[in-house]
Amino acid sequence: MKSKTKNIFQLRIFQSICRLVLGGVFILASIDKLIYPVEFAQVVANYRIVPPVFIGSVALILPWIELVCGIFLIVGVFKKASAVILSILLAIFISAIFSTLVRGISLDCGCFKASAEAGKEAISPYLLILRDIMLLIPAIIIGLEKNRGKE
Amino acid sequence: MKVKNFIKEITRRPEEGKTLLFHVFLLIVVSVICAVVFKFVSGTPVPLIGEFDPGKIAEPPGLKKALDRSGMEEIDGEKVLNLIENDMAVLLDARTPGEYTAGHIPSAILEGKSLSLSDGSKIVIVYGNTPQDPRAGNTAEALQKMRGGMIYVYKKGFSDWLSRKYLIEKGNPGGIKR
Repeated sequence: MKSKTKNIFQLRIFQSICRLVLGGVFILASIDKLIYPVEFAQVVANYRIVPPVFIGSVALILPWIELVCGIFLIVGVFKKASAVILSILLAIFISAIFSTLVRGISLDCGCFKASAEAGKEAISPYLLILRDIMLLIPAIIIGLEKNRGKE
Repeated sequence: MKVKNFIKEITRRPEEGKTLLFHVFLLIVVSVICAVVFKFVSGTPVPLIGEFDPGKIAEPPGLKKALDRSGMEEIDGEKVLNLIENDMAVLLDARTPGEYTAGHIPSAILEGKSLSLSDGSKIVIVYGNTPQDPRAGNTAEALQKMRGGMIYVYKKGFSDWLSRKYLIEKGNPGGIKR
């Protein structure tokens, strides 16, 4: 006989909090990148991962992906798809920051501030990785959420 | 036959539009369309496709104006390194204390401390964060008025220094050597 008690991760309120937090964080992260595209392109270039031909594309499209997925997550439409995209993005961010650690590159992550204020962040790369892992958890929880007959 | 079925399966229109992959695709398409519209509406110089070169992107009027005036000259990263190695330059960091602490060109001092620049025999070089950062030009202009003489502007700034993989220093602005 199946137990009727729900796991905390399956509680609707818990999943709603995850959606609001994750969506809010990504909307917040996208704003500065949208306002300062040139500075964000420079941040992307500083990582020395993306081929120069695609730096502009990444700098222009990435903030919009963050914003669109953030909004859809908060609204609750296409939430699984949004969570999947944001999980992939977070995995890429973690890999990128880890690669700068391995290569000994010191730079502003450009996560929330792409403008001239970026340097004020000055967060350790280890903390950045930890922060992204903490964000990855709610993203995975939403991604694995069972369908309730509607998106 | 199986391959044909598989291709047919993945290319067919998803039933009721509720396939996860279809939604992912849809969200990415929406984002790309927004980015393309934004690019043309905002007129940002960042190319959607094509090599991104910060040096080729238009400079802010403040920096251009400052560099046009006599008494100021642009200098590149290689020359800056050469001058530092020979202890012939005083470097001024025009950025914030936070940015300075996160990383700066070795021996550079913060703009706020620049008033005590006493060694007149050395070349004064000012730098900011990126080629678009107006702070280097503004600081150089203010310094030129106050101090006179030639002020050099490392226009490409700290981002160029990082991309050249030159050594950097990290530390508190309180711990300045000079």
